[in-house]
Amino acid sequence: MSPIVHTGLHPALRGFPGAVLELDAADGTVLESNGRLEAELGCRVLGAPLDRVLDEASRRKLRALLDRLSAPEAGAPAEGAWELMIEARDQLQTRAFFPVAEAAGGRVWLVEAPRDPRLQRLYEELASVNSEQANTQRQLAKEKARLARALDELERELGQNDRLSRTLQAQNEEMEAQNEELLAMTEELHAGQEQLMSTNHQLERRTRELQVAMSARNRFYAAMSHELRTPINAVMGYNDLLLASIYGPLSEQQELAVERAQRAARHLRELVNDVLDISRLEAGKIDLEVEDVALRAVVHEVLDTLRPVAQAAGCELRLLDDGGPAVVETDPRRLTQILLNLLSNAVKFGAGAPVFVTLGGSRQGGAVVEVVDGGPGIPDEEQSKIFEEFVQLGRDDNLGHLHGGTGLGLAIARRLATALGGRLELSSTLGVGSTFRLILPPRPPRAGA
Amino acid sequence: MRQRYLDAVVAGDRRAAFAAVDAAREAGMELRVLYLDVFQPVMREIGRLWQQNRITVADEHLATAITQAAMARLYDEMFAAQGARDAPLLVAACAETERHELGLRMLCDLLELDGWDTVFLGASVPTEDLVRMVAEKRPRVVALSASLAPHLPRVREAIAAIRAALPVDGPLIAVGGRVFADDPGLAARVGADLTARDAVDAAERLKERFAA
Repeated sequence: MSPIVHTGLHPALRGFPGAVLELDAADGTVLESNGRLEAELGCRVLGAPLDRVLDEASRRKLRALLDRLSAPEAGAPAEGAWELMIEARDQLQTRAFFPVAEAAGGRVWLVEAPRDPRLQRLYEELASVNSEQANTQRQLAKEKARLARALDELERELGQNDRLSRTLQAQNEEMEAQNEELLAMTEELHAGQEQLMSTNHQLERRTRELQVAMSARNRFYAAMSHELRTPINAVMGYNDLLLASIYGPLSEQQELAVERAQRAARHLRELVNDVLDISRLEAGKIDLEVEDVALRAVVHEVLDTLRPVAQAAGCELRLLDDGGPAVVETDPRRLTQILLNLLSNAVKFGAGAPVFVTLGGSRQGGAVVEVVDGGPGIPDEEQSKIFEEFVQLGRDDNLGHLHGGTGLGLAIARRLATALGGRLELSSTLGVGSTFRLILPPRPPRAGA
Repeated sequence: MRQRYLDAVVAGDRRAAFAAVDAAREAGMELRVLYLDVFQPVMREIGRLWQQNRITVADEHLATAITQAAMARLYDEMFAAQGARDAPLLVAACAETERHELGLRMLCDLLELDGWDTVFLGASVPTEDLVRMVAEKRPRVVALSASLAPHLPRVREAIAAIRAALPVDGPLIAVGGRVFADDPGLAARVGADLTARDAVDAAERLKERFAA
């Protein structure tokens, strides 16, 4: 370090309001000071390089200044004020110095430009305000961008929500429509069910009523038949005794009368028997005794039985054999009963024309027996009635009869045919005659059961 | 472009400076390029011009103010481009009131351009507020700047407080500013993890550090 030589400052500079420094041009050591800088910084500057109180940039700037002052020919002259940043306590202060160089070199004077310290504060304040403003602007812009993004997202979400809700709504509507349809269907079902139930109820009630009525009627029939048959048998028994002259000989007139009484009693018994039959049939209490039956033998038997009656009526009985099964499984007694009924009817109502019995087979392997008469025929509207109980055509008014019979025969015959698993049909042409057709299955439906 | 902008700010002509930026943008210059090739070098040049005694501190103030305003005009565009959800967050604060906070703001903007999220607190944030905010936001990086040695104790204190508040998984702490640029070993002595020469350098280092 070069020795410090104090030459002293010009007295005029001692009272100068700004700092005045005398520096060693070589290393910037402060050789002299008017004390202003020391006073402001609160530290010694004299005797040390001015660099000590400068920031880095200002040190470089000072060096450049000193270089230029010591070699003015090398660069531009150091005109005007030179700003240096003085590190004062915790802030940098800008100081502008007018440099003055000694002609011989070696020493440099820095004379601070008179300054208004408020100007520095104004600068600082302005810079601070400016920075704050810029910060605010930055934050606002950032917030704005964030909000815009949030808004975008919200809009997107809303859009998605919208789409979703539209889809949902459509689905909802579809579901509602389906629901309504279902509901309607359910209601319909319900209504149908109720109707069914009500129909069921009605049916049940009717069935029960019918059952009650039927069983009441059947009980009535059975009771009546039994109660009636006993006195009839008694009447007939006494008639026989009378006719056999057990109580003494009868006059011709008396005999005639007793015979009439006997005929009437016989008819009555027939009627009661038929009533009993039909009530049993209706009650389902008929017992079938099924066996293998030689059909032709049965038919011949019936024809033989009725031949006297037919002869009496003046009509001929003929058998036409068209084949068919030789044997059917059925109840021979019931079959005989049906055939007797049909043939006696044919004789009774056949107006003396020949009665034909034809034997044939059905497609199911059963038998078909037809009884064909040449009677007056039965009008279409009567044909459905003829199988009803107590119907005898041409005498629907009373029991005083032309043909005899109870009016239950065909009703019984049809019921028996049904009980045997077959059916009894009628076809008739007015003025030509009638055909009753008995169709029997090879075996009754419950024969094996 | 750089010269045009430099001339405008040296002349203190705000309109001309804005026009230069607008022209560059219209010519297709990206924001990042504008920061790297214009704002940062021009501000460095301004410092150099002052050292050459070609301009005064007043000129420098003006240039800084104009550049801050020019940057502010770009913020709408800058932030509109961002929005990654898991972007790394940086909280920045200056240790003291000083005009040189421009550098810190540049760092924030450059990182924003790279998809970071940054919060610039500015100057003179009380240490306890800073710590509370860091504890709440849990940033990956806290950047602090200081320009003068007298502010170093505050920087050291702030770093210690952050470390104490978040002993586990705390943020990386970066420091910058003139005082650190003058003394490369200083950053480690105040307890910081990282320092850099300038905003561009700092942005590069941080991006490298957090390249996922």
